[in-house]
This record gives sequence, C-alpha cells and structure tokens, in this order.
Amino acid sequence: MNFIYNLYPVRAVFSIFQVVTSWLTPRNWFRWKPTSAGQLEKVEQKILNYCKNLSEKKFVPVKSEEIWTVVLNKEKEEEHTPLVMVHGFGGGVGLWIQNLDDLSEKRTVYAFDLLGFGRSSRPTFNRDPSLAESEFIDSIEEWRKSVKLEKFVLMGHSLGGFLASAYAIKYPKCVQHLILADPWGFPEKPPVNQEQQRLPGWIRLLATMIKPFNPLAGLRAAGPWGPSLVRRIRPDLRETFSEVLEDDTIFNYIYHCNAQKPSGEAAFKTMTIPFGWAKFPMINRMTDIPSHLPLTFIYGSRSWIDRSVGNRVKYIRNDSQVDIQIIQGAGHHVYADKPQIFDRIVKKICDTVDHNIALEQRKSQLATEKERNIGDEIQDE
Amino acid sequence: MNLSFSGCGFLGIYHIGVASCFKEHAPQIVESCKFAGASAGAIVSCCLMCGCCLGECTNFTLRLATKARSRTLGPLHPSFNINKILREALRQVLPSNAHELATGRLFISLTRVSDKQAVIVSEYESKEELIQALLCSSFVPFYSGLIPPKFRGERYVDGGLSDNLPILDEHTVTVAPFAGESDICPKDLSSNFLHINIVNTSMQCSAKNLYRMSHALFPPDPEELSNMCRQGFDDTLVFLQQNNLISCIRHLTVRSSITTKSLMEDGASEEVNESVMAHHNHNEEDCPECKKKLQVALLDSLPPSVVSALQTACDSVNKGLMNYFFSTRPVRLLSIAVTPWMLPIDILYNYGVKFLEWLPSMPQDVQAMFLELSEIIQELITQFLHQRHSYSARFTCQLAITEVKCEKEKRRKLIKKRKSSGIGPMIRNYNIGFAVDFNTQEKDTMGSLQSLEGHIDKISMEDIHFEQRDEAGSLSYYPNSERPSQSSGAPCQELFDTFEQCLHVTNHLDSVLSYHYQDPNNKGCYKFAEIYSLKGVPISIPETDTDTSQTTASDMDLSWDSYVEMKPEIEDEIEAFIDSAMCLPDFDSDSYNQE
Repeated sequence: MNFIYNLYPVRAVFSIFQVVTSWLTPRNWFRWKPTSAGQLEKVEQKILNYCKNLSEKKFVPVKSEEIWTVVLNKEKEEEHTPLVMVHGFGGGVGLWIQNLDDLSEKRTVYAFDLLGFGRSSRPTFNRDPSLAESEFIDSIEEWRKSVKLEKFVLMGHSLGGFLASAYAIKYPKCVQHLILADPWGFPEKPPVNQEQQRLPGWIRLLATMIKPFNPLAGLRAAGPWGPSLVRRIRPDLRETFSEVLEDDTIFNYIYHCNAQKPSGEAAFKTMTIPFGWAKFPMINRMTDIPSHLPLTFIYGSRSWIDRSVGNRVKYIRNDSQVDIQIIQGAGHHVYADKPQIFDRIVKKICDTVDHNIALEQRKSQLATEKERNIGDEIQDE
Repeated sequence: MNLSFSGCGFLGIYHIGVASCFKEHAPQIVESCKFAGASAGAIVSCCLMCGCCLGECTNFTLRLATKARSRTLGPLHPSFNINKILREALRQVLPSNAHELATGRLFISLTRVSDKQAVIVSEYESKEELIQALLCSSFVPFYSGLIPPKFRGERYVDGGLSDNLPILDEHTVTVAPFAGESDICPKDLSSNFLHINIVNTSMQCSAKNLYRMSHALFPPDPEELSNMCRQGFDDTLVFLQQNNLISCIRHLTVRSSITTKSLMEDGASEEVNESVMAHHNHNEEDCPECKKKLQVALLDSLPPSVVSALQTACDSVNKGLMNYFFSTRPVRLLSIAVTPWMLPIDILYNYGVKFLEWLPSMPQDVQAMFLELSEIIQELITQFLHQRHSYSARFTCQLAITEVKCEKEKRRKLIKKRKSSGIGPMIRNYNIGFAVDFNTQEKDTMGSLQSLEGHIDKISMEDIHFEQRDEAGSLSYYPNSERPSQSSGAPCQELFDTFEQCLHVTNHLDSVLSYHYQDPNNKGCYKFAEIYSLKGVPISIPETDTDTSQTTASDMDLSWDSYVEMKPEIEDEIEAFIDSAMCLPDFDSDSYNQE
C-alpha cells in the first residue's frame, strides 16, 4: 500500500480528491479559526529561511502517519554523532530557530514535530495515558528507523524532555546521551494542602469549570481573535526572537501550530492530572533508564519548573553520570532565552560523546588487533 | 546588579519582605545598585534606597489595608482616599534629601495619559516632586480617583498599565509577587504550561496567582499579608543563596574598598584591584565567617521590627474589647441590617466633603477632563467616519508632456561633433503620474471624485514619479519617493509647481483635443484625456538632476510604473494619442543622444 501511495500520480490525485472533499464539507464553508496547514507551512518557511545549514525538510512516513522533519548539515552525518531535538508542548521545529545553525556547525541535527503537534499528522490518540505515551514513543522509534539513525544524542525540551526520557527507557539502544532542557513531568503531584483548600470558592469553581477543556481550547475558541490573543499574552516572545524574526512571525507560528485539530494536546491532557501534573511522573521511572546512559539537565534560573528534581535524580541514579546546568537569566524556554550559552553546553556534551565513541572504537580496535595477534601467534606455533 | 520591583498594589508587602532581606543579608547590593519600579514597587524601592525603617513601612501598609477593609465597600468607599494617605505617609517617612538620593538611581515607571505610553523618570528636583512621581505611578484610574495627578505639568497614571516591570539592563533582578518567570517570585508548586505575560510581568496561569491578583487592589486580612511578607523574605534568601550573594562582613568591606579605589584613582589601582579580587575569590568559599553567616541566614526570618509590626496588626484585628464587641453575632447582624440605610448617607456625605476639597482645583481639572473627552469623541467620530467609507477608489493621473526642442545652434554644434549623424529636433517626454487611493462614501465615481476635492490635503499621495524619455527610446525613470514624507505637498514642491503650471495652462488654453470615455471593462471607471499645444506659452519643466535619480526608492510597491505594467493598454493608448496628436516627424532613432 505504501508503495502505491508513494507513486507520484496517485499522490497527486489523492491530494486533489482531498481538496475537493474539503470544499464539500459544510464545516469548511465558514471558518471560525483563521488557520490552515498551508498557513502554518508558510509561516514555518518564513522562519526556516533564516536557517543557513538546512539540508532537507520532509515528511517522514511512520506507519500510517507522517512526521515533519528538518535535517541540517546532512553531509556531516558520518563524522560526528547526530543530535535529535524534540520540542515542547505547543511548539514545533520553528522554535529552535536560534539554535539550529549553531548546533549543526559540526554535526547533523535532526529536528522533528512530535506526532500530533506542528506540521506532523494529527491522529486521535488513545484515551489511556500509558498507551498515549507509548504511541508518542513508538512514533519516535519508527521515525528513527525511517531516517536510519543508529547512534545519536537525544535532546528534549519541556514535554519533549518527558517523552525523550520515556523513549530512553523503552529504546535505550541508540541513545548516546540524554539532554533534558527544563523537562516537564518529573515531580509527583503534591497532596492537596491546606493552603489550596483555603482559596476562595469562586476560584475553585473556575478551576473545576475549565478542567474538562484542553489546555489551549481558549485559543481556538477565540477564533479570529486568536492570533492577536497570542500576541497579547506573550509579548515577551517578540523580544526573545527579535534577533532572528521580524514582527509577528513567531506569534503566527505558535498560533497556527496550536489552532489546528488538538491531537497531541488532547494526548497531553490524557497524560496529566489537572493542572499540568504528569499521571506517571518520570521521577519514579528514572531508575529504568540504563545506568550507562549519561544524563544532563539544563534549567533556566527563572523557570517555573521545579529544579530540585534534577538533584533528586542525581541522588537516585548515584551509579551513573547526571549533570545539572543552570542558565542564569533564562526562563522556561532556555534555548531561546539564552541561545549562545545553551548551544555551548549542548555542543560540549556532543563533543564529549564523540570523544567517548572514538575512544571506544580505538579500544575495540586494539582488542581485535590483540586477538588477531594472539591468533597469529597460535597459528605460528 | 539592578533591582526591579513590579507594581502590585497591596501585594507590595511582598516587596517589603524582599527589601528587608536585601537590607539584612546583602547591604552591599542595596548601597550600589539602581532601582526600578512601578506603583507599589516604586514606593518600596524608594523607601529601601533612602534607608527608611522598613518596620514602619510594614506598619503603614497594614494599617492602610485594615482601613481599606473596614468599610462596607472596602477600598471603593469614598472616605478611603488612598492618594491623600499615601502622600502624607511618604512626606513623613522619606528623608528631606530623598530627591538627591533618588536622582539617577530610582527609575519610576509611569503611564502618560495623553498617549498611553510608558515613561520612565529618574530625575527629581525636590522631595515633593519625588513624592508626586511616586503618587502618579500608583494612581490606578477609577480606583484611586477620576482625575489623574500631574507630574511636571503632564498627567500620568499607574506605571503598571504600560510597563509593570521596567528592565534597566541585562543584569536586572526582577521581583514580582506573582509566580512566574521572575528572579524573585513565590514558587508555586504548579506544573501548568500556560504562561502569560501582562505588561511585562510574567505570570503562570494558576489558581493561586488568580487569588493574588484579586487581592492586589482589595487587600486580604493582615495575617495573609504578613504571610506574603514572610514569603518575600524567604524567596529572596533562596535567591541570594543560589547566587552566592551572602558573605561575611570582611568580604563586604573588601567589596566596598574595590569600588572606592577604582573611583578615586582610575588606572593606577588596577593592579591592586586584581589582587584584592583574587584574595576575595580565594577566601570566600572556606571563610568560616561566611559559612556561619550562610547558616544564620538559613534559619533567619523577617527582621524583628517588621515582625512586630505584623504582629500588632494581626492583634488589632483579633483582640481588644471593641473587636470582641463588633464580632459578636447580634452586633454583626445589626450592622448588616443597617448597612443599606447608612451606606447612601455615608457616600453622600463623603462625596460632599470630597467635592468641597476639590473646588479649588476644579477649573483646571474640568478643563483637562473636557479636553480628554473631546479627544475621545473626536477619535470615535473619525473611527465612525472611517467605517462609513465603504467604497475605495483610485484616482490616477498621468501627465505626458512632450517637449520638442529645435535649437539650431546646439544642433550645429552637435553636427560638428558628429558629422556623420543627422540630427532631428530634440524631443523630451515627461511622464508625470500619480495614483491616489482613497475611501469614499459614494458609489458613483463622479461623486467620489467630488468628495475627494475637499480632502485633498488629507490624502496621502502614494507615489509621484517623474520620467524622462529621450528620443533613443531608452527610458530614464525618476521615482521621487526617496523623499521621506510623500503625504504633504511640501517635499514635492518642484513637481507640484509643474502641476500648477499644467493646471494654469489647462485653465487658460483650449485643448487641442479632449475626450473622455467609460472603461468598457469596468463600468465605474471613467477616463479623461486632454491634449494641449504649448506653443508660445512660457512653461518651465524642472530639470531632473542626476543625484536624485541615483538614490533608489525603498518602497516602490505600488508605483505608477507597476500600475502601468498591470494595465499595459493605458500606456499604449496614451502613446498612440500623443503620437497621432503631435504628428511627430520621422527620424532616425539611432542618431540621437541624450542631452
């Protein structure tokens, strides 16, 4: 089936068919949300135009879905260990824009949109939290097989950090180093304390009322006012990306990423307890990651993510390498707030990985040589 | 390092906790850094900088909060005049040289009423002026009053409306009582992704933040406030520890000596400085005194003066015979029953008093209000009119001036120069074109043109182009839009002169040929053409100098050129008519060169 689908004419006919059917559905006659996959593509293109080392962007087929992938500096794949970047909640490839060029200076960098986010396909996830999680992770593994990666450094930010750790637990084989930038979903939800009980009734009522909705439902409900809503509530992002992007590009990108069908977002919701606590916190599963796999936490000093988790992980995994870096003056979006410092840390980690691999290769070479020598000697005798 | 305190109304008590921690454990920072703030943040930073007793500040805040809570409508009750109370308190608490201390070190964020822009002031001539700036910065419209106060003749309101957390430079430590991405802020145990950024203050969307926001203007009971104060102190301690800013007295003196030396003798002390720094860095880690200090800080909480202030405030609410009397059930019931009757009288009385107090400054304020109101009405009217413009029209005009020169002398010279080439008359074509896009109420083309007449000076000319065509057929093109403002006539004086001449000519001469027709493709579009012969009429056409032609225009999106390109038939038509009307003599196009 896949092979037929890949035939160009079949694909063209199919896409035409899709367009025609979209015209015929009454829901599309009147559009409340000013968004579409095409608009997202356009904005993303605008962002990626800034990127100099871009070598490929493509949809990587994964089972019945597609994962949008951006590859940088593909030529260097053989020389150095590639880096794979997983974005956070509500984001996409475009948010890495300030880091892509710098990180891909020496090595290949793969950045992809998670299943259900950005430009990747948006399937309906399982309603069971652990199954939804494994759907994410399996899609990453399938993706890895499709792009034929054997060894890589895995980096995840926020929700991406959670999924990257979950991936490292299930498929540790190829991961050389796990970098978690302000990872979400590590601590357990603390028991309801008295202070929260003391909150006035109207606030608790409001909280109960918004519980059944997806986290970003308000953005979609705002319809035509959505893009300006993003601009209103996160004006700081303009400043953060001002060196790279002009005016409203980043707001439009974030809007179009999240205004479409909430698939990944719904999966996120099934994986959480209100508000924003992981149902299966990663802190309890840290020991499942093989102890030989080194870990690095990169936190922003201003971030709301609980930094003490890093130290607890260090304590739990006392038999393996766990490093904690704190970037001063950076918020939750560490990589965008202080791109230079962040890149320096990540590049250093990747270099160490390269170095270690080279050492190991040398060792095994020596060992085989020794064996051969011994074999030769035996033969001689 | 600079400190920036956010505006937050009554939650300013959090800032007091922060300030007392800085004063206690990092006095070197307080002495050297700059402060920025909006509303409550500005007041606290001013008090911290001037070395006021923070216990007194706490006391005052709590008293203010209790007073605000004591009336039925809370702080909205007319007898609660926060501006007056604040002014008196600031007069009392600030030292007489406060303005000298504050100038250049205290940056207060204000919002200008006239254009709603953020303004940061840092220079004050007198203590009164400083207090006035602080009051302006904490004036919440409709909450504090209706008429915004003046600072240096300009009316300002709360800085928290435009820039709640002014950032001075990269090393600004931000302090906010809302959980979010500030350096010093309460850390809520929350894992919510949703984050918003309102007027520069980052906030997590959590129930507790909502609770805090609801109490920014309507204060909670003193116990809650004192908790916030304590939290401010603790958060700051954590911050200071994480950034290694707590050190012992010896190291403090070392630090201060660095600054004085480098100020006194600039270059010479560099060497000394370095050695001092090295010494300081070396010692801090294993200095027993520093360690002890850190340990003390760990166990420390709010300074005693602040604690006692908090305690008395809590006591005054809960203890005492009067309180006991008022909190008994029958009295409470009675007060609830009486409220609907008493409240109107109370409000009336208070407004009466307020009105009497306001009388002296009434004319001025009324004038200001009138101005503001008229501005709003004007804006509304223009907006309304703008929306009524339901049709958009484009008025394009092209003047094709063909100048035929037959100067014999020159010709002879030229012939001399190029003997082989025979030269005909010099012909220059000027194409002056412009397009005006405008909105109109009328559907009819003629009507809309008439309405354009009245507003011609309000309409922006999109682009005026000037082109000169020499006979060889090469087109030299002079866009005039490199001039900065195209909207008014002034910069294009030269061109308008030409236009005026053309108008003059058209008014006084009969045209050789004139016609108009309706565009067959577009019923709403009329086209006019008139051709004049200028024989014997003095008319000067500006020589376009090469300088202007070299600078290229930056915004040429909708130039005449591109407009013509879109509709090539116009150009052809005009060309054809000029040709036929002027009956140009045939000549060899190769033999011409540009003059």
